[in-house]
Parts: sequence; C-alpha cells; structure tokens
Amino acid sequence: MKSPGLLKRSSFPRKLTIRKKRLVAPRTKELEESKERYRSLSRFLKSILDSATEYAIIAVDYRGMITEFNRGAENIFGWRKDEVVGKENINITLLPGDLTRGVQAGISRRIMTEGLCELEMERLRKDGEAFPAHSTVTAIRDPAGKVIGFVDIVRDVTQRQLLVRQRNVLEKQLRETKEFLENIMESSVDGIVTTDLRGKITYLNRAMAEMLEYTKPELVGEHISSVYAGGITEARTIMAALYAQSRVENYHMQVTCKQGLNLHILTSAYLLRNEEGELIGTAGIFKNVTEQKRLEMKLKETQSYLIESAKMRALGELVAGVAHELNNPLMASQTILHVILKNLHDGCPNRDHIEIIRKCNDRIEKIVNHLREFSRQTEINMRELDINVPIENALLITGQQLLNHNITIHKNLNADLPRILGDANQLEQVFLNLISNARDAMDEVSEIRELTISSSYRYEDYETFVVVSVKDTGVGIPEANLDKVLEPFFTTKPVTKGTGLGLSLCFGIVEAHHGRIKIMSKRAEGTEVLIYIPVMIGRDK
Amino acid sequence: MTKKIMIVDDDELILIALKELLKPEGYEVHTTSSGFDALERLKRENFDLLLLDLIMPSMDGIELCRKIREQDELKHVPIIFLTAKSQEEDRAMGLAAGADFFLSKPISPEKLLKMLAVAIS
Repeated sequence: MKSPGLLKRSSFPRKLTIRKKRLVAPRTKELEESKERYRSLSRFLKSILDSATEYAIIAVDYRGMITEFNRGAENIFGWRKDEVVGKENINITLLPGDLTRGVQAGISRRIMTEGLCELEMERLRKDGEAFPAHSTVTAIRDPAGKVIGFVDIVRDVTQRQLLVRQRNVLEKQLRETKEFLENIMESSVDGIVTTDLRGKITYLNRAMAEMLEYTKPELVGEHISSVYAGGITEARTIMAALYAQSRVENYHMQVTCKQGLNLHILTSAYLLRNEEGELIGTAGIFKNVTEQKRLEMKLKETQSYLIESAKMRALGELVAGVAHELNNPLMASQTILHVILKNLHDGCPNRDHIEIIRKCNDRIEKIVNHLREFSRQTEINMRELDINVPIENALLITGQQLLNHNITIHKNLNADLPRILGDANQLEQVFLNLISNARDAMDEVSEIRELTISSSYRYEDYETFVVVSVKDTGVGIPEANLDKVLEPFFTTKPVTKGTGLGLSLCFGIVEAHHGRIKIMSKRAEGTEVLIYIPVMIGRDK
Repeated sequence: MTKKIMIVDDDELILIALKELLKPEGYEVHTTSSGFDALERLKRENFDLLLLDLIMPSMDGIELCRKIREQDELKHVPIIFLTAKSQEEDRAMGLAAGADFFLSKPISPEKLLKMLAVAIS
C-alpha cells in the first residue's frame, strides 16, 4: 500500500518554503488521515482476531517464533498470549511425532508452490492433549515478496469429527439393520408382502414370488387382489378386518398362482404406520398350507377308512360268534327234522308243514354260512398273481348268466399288468360279488345294459396300484346310501335276494390285500367300483 | 354186529338229535357231555367210533383226542370231530391231535351218515 504522494517527495522544490508549507499541510493531513485509516484497519483486524474465538489465528516469523496469538488460539491451545508471543515456537502446538517427521518443511513447501496449505492434523494443547484440527497456513511477505512469516488459522474439529463418526456409525447400523431384516425376509419360507394403502404391492419376498410362480418385478405395483382367488372381495374383507382389529391372524384364504393353480394360505396381516403413527400400508405373511391341507384330507380319509375297517373287524367277530352259536341248535333242528320226515307215514297232512319248517331251516343255514364267509378272517392264501386271472374266472362263471339277462360285457384288460400278491379265490369272490351287484342293478333298467370290466395300473400316493374297474349302466346308488353300502347287512334288495354282506365281504378281502375300494355312482347312470391292489414291491412285472 | 358209537358234546340238543338220527340206522349210541366221563367209559368198554365236539368245558375235544390216542388199545379207534368251528387252523389242530375226520356243523344228516359209514368200515 504505497501512497503516490509519498513517492513524489524527491521532486519537492527546495526554495519555495511557503509553497512547501502550502504543499505540506494537505500532505500532513493526508498522512494523518492515512494513519487514522491504518489505525482503524488495525483495530478492525485486531477485533476480528480477538472475536474469532472459534478460530486460533497464530502468526509466526520465518523461524517459527510466535508473533501473534489471538483469543481463539488461547481458547483452543490453552496458552496465554503473553506466555507465547516472542517466547515460544509454533512447534509447541505440534505433535512430537510430526516434528520428527519434519511436517513443517512439507507445509512450507506447499505454501511456496500453492500459495497456501490446508490440512487436517492433530495438534497439541498446553496440557499435552492432542486434538484433531483443521489448519490453513499462509505466508506473510514483505513488500519485496520475501516470506517473513506465516499465519496459521486453526480450528478444533473434535466436535465435527465426533459427529461424522457418529453419523458413520448410525449409517452403518442402519445399513446392517436393513440388510439383517432383508435377509430374514428373503430367507423366510413364508411369503411376505407389503402394500400401500390402496393395496398396491410395494414389496414381496422371494418365498412369495416363488409360491406364486411370478418374478418380483411382475408383481410389484400390482394390486394385491390380483393374486387372491377371492379377488377384490377378499381384499376388502381383509382390509375391513384390519381396520377393525388392526391385525388379522391365521385367516384362511386361497391365492392363485401364475399357472392358475389355487393354494391354501393362512394369512396374518398388519397395518403399517410411520414414525408419526400415520397409516402407510399393510404387511402380510402368507403361509402356504396346501400340502398340509392335502395331508389333512388324506388323514381324514385314512381315519374314516380305519374306523370303517375297525368296525368291520368288530362286526366280523360278532358275526362269527353269532354264527357259531347258531350252528349247534340249527344242526340239532335239522337232524331232528330229518328224523321226523323219515318216520312220517305216507299221506300225513303235517308233511307239508314240516317241509316248510325245513325250508326255513335251510334259509337260516344259508344265512349262517354267508355270515361265516363274511367273518372268515384267516385262510388267505397269498400268491404272486396276475389280477386278470381271477377277473377272467369270475367272468367265466357269470358270463352265461349275464347274457341271459341281456347284458353286454366289455372287457378292457391290460395284458401287461405288474403282478400283485393276492389270494386268487378271494379276489374271484370279490369280482363275483361286484358282477352280481352290477347285474342286479341293471335288472331294473330296460335300455342299455352294459358291464365294463377294466384293469390297469397307476401310481398314486407314492405307490403303484393295479386298479380294476367294474362299471355298470344300472340304476345307480342314491347319494345318501353311498357311504352305507359297505356296511354289513345294508341292502335295498328283497329279503330273498341278498343278505347285505356282499360288499362288506369285498371290503374285508380287499383290505386283507392292503387295497382300497372306491365307489362312484350316479343315479340312473350307473355305478363304478374301483378296486386298488398294491403292486408287489421290488418287482414290476 | 351192532356198531357202538360214543358221542361227546356239551350241547344236550346235539346229543338228543344225533341219538335220534343214529339209533334207527342201527347204531348203538352212547352219549356224554364230559371228556373225563368219556375217558372212564373208554377204559371199560370198546367203541367202534368216537364223535367229538371241539369246544367243551373243563376238557376240550383236542385234549380228549390226545389222551385217547396216548392209550395203545385206543390207537386205532376212528375219531371224528364234529364242531361248529370251521377254520383251517382248527381243522389242522384236530387232525394233528389224532382225529381221522373233521366235520363242521351244521352238516346235513345224509352227509353225516355217509361219513360215519366210511369211518367205521
């Protein structure tokens, strides 16, 4: 800052004092004003220096000797100005380690090349405590441009670093929590879905996508009701329940897969709120219970089958007992009747009466024999056999009879069946019974009388079965009777025609072969009875 | 010569009926309801045929049959089981005990008479 007036001093004329005075006066005034400007500038700078309490401003000479040390420096470094100015080197604010590494030289070099040096490093307080600092160092030059010292402006960034560190930790925790939650959601075997308040899907996990056979992008943004088998109605029902109780648990429903298959689902749903407690959407957990449902049904079926067979066994024992008890008196009665009939003289009017008693006895004997057959639990002679053999035998016996009843026989026997383990006689008994039932059912219809017997094999429930179907075009079984036909003594036939034991007998025999009986019937269309016998394990043919 | 038959059955009606059936056919019929009684009488008298029930109180037909066969002089007396039992294992057990025939009740009188004639000859 050079005044142009001062530079012109050398050209003052020596002789003209008055002119000098005239000239000097304004100069002096100028000088005074300029001094005043300097003073006020200096005051201004000093007040800045002192009011910058958050910034340490330290000036040093070219050797590092401290020449200025403001209030902020006192605050930050803990030294008093009078302790250091002209007495201490800037080195007292540097870490001993940095000093030995020659950090000052590096700073000087950067100032020379870049004009200033800004850096973050640890500094030392008077009490020996190190603290993180941000420092800006510039050079002080004389008018010739020679460096005569430096100004070091230092800021304590402990607080800032602490904040940064805290923020980093929080961010990391947040990220980890998010990853953790996402991991859980993605590894869940149950489907998890969130929707916005309008029901549009905002997130779904892997299990949900796999369950529904869609990819995630295909579903995100879609309305949740598009996968509900019950559609929008179902979605409204769930939302209504959610609004009423704020959560729904184990709600049974069905969802539809991409391929159109319906799955049984147990849903638990919740309302989602933000920090302010405002509703922002819903979350649902979808548990696929289709397999469970199927097993349950299967179990129920098995259970009722077991109950049925236990009932049959109990009945079998009862019937066997009754038959056994009837045998003795029946035999005594038959024997005595025989004696009486033999001793009757010709033309005795009672002969006809006694003949009637004998016929009654014969009927009783027939029933008892049938009962015994029904209750026979042993004597099963299991052999490896082709199920077509007992079918053919049964048809051989009944063939002519069926023709007499105007019944056409269709035979679809698979000649390439796997073998089963069975009792040929007993199975023949089964087919005889089924054929005679079919015949009776068709006696009551006039038009088409067709008996279709087919054999095949199929894989069902992890087991291969030989399946025989006996199908008629008879009157059919009324639905109300369908679950009763296997019960012993259940019959709709006239007294002389059946004992109601035929199908029970079949049931017992098939059961002994570890097989199953299925009966399907439609009124006026006919009945189909399916006999399932498991194939011999380990041998396919 | 009149053939002697002993019938062992715990059912009184069976005993009466069989007696009525067999007597006119020329058989000498003895009856008892007790296996012990039957054994006692077998020691004193000779019989041409024994007709045994299977299920009887105190001593059943199987045991009786074995005890009879244990005695040398009774080894060859024809024994027929006539029983309300009809299962294979009963039949097997009866034959194993030493019986010659196993018949199930009820049996027609004609058939019974035929079987007796065969067994006794």
